[in-house]
Amino acid sequence: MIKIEHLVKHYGKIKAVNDISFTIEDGEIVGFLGPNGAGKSTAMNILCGYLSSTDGSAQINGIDILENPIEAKKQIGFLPEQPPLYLDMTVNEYLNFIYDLKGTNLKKDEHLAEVCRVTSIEHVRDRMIRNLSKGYKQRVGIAQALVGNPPVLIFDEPTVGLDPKQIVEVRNLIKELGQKHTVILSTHILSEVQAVCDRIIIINKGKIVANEKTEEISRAVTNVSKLTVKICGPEKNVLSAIKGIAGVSAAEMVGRQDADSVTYIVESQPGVDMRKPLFHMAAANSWPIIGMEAQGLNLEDVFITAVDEEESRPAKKDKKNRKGGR
Amino acid sequence: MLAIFKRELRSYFTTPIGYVFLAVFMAISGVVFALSTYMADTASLSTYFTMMTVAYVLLIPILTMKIFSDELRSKTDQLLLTAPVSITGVVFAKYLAALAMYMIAVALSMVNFLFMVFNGYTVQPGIAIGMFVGMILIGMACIAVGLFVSSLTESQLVAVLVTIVVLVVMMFINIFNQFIPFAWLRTALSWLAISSRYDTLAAGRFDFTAILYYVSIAGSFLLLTIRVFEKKRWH
Repeated sequence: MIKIEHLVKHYGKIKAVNDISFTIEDGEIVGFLGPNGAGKSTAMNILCGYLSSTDGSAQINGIDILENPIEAKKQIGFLPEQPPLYLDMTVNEYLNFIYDLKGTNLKKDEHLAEVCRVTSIEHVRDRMIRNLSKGYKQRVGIAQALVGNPPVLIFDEPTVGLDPKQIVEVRNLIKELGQKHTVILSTHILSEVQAVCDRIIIINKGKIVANEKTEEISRAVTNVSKLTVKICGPEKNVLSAIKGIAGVSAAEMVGRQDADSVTYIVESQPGVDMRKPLFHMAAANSWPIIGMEAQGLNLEDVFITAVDEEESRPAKKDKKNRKGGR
Repeated sequence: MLAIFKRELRSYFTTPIGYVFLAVFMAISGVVFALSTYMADTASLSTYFTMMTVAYVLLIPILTMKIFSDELRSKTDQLLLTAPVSITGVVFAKYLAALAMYMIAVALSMVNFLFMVFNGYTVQPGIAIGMFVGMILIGMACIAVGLFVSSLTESQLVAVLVTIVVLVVMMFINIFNQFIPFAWLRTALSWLAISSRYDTLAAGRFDFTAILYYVSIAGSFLLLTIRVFEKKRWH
């Protein structure tokens, strides 16, 4: 169990972490979510004993990281933002070094073979780390965290810089690890936490703005109130027909992707499902609907809403960037 | 701690640094030895000893530049400091690895004495051993200085240059004495200067205060290095 109480970290006058508290139960996979510079890495570094806190406490399985750092560090496998690899070593030499460094007393050959199997790096064990691709380096970094079989794993942005296939692989790996370990991972990719985590902690400007089960956040997400519809037909007639349907609060044309279909965004009054009336309206006019998608609140909106509520200042520009980014 | 020591020592041989250090050390010691004994036609080793200590200003930084700079640059310090080992353990392991490397070089350079014996000069074993001990002591102090400087910067180049400057100042600070009118300051400076302890060691004599002096310089800089990492944690 990880218990963080009133954690504060100042860098000079800047409060990187400003009074955060949470508890993580054994076996949970928790995602730290937040924009860049929100304090995710700082919080993780404190938890791992790399930085000290200005105030508050962090306990791992009841051991305080400041009072008894060596015992606490034994409970943790940590993958920092940049995997801490010695480029002049082979994967095998590196893992052997980590094994000795952590003073592990599991059976060495079996344990390292197991770690390599889990992270699928068996076939690169004799290669120099400097010659490995980014994805493999990341996996060696994860393997390093797994050595010694610590009960808690902390991954700081584990999928940054990987290609889409590698991202999926690393996520699956983390999910698999979550069956036996408590996992904390940080990310600013929202679909990642949704895919992997049991619980989401959203951090902004050093404060926790949301701490919810993923399902609960997802429930908010499925509460549809906006639809994107693609209809073939004369634009103006279609738009006025949509507006004429009972329950529609607003409709607008967003654009034309191909010759004869136009995309519209339809907003409904709360609690009204617009999909059937839209179909009947279009069928009556024999305008084929070629696409319909619930736009609703997605995780990004939840995230931005949570952050905005904290800041009270609208961050529309940010929103655009974040959707386009990644 | 043993793991860090082994990795550190090994890294001298998987990168060019270890070979460069040994080669330069052997070349300089060979040339200096030849100049100070055969060419000067003397069996006295004190000139050799003094000149070698001056050469340390260039040799030691090669050995120490990467110790922490490299870790800081590749962020592997994060690995060491989140592993279940103490900061003191990390610093000592790395220090001892550099010291071991240095002792290998000094031991190899003892070959010079053999040539002397073959050429009919007499080398008093007591003096040779005393010098060996003296070189180790001075090396201990200089390596601790280099280690400390290396913990301050990510750049090996900066580490090398700053270490050279600091060592030069520490070795020769007492040359300013002739311009200083205050006796107390002169005494203090010559007390601080590394070179002021040469004489007894160069003569191959056992000098307890000199030993204490070098050991405490080494100790102070090791403590400072530990503080650098602790402060980084607390900052």
